[in-house]
Amino acid sequence: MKKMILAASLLVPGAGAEAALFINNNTDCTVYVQVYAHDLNHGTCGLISGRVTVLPNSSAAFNNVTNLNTTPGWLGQTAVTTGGTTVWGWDGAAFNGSLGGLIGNTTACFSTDVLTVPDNGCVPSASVTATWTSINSTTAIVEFTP
Amino acid sequence: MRKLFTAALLFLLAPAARAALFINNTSKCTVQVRVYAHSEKGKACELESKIMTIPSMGTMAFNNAGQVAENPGWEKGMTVAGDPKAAVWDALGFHNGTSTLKVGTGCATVTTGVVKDACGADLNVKWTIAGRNILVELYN
Repeated sequence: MKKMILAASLLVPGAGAEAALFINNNTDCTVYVQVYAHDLNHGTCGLISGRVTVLPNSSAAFNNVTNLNTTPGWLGQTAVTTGGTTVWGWDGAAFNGSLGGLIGNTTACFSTDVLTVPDNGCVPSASVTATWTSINSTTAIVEFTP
Repeated sequence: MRKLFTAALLFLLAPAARAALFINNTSKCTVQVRVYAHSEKGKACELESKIMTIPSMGTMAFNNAGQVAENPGWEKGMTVAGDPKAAVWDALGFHNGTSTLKVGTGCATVTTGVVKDACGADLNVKWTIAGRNILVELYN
């Protein structure tokens, strides 16, 4: 996976690119995601969102951290984009609560960017692999595959 | 080096199955755009979507081409044949008066371009492959 990230970063020089978070659920099960991020007022992983529900074979997208202020909201917090993408950014994701796990930018607060766990029970004895890919310093894709 | 080459090859093959289309508009203007795609065994750009509107600092994400049918819909009763997850994203088309631009692969000849946006500014469009997905950045 590291190789793919490296190759991806080579293909995406990043100039002009801005920060976005894309969540892509390629599984046949609903995935619940809590986003971890930082901004001017919150350090690395200092922002933790409420649950984002991503239906089977669908996607979710957020242009910036303020897009989560209302829905699903940050837990007791409000995010700002003050200072631009050198100040705020995406750090990681928790998925499927106690049945899932934590993945993220390995330079932030979680130690792994790939994790495979049994699925949340909607397809018995299946598994789901969660992958965090930092496209550049500020754009990330979280992908769930069977 | 070989690993890198292998990874690069994987990316060349990437746009096929299970690919998502992610669009991120960080420009100061609302953008109107059509998406072009084709079914698994179809021809490039055979599917043309209706116009979709992406606000400034907004995003659009499609897990697979089947989702286009829900919003904004395909033109002229077009539908994806076969497995929607096996359909392929080809291009995005921008039209602003006499100013047009098609960015992507298939029926497009460029993966980056500039078009006047509705606010009169230059809109940069950058089509990149991110893993198995397509990421399009829109910015001034």
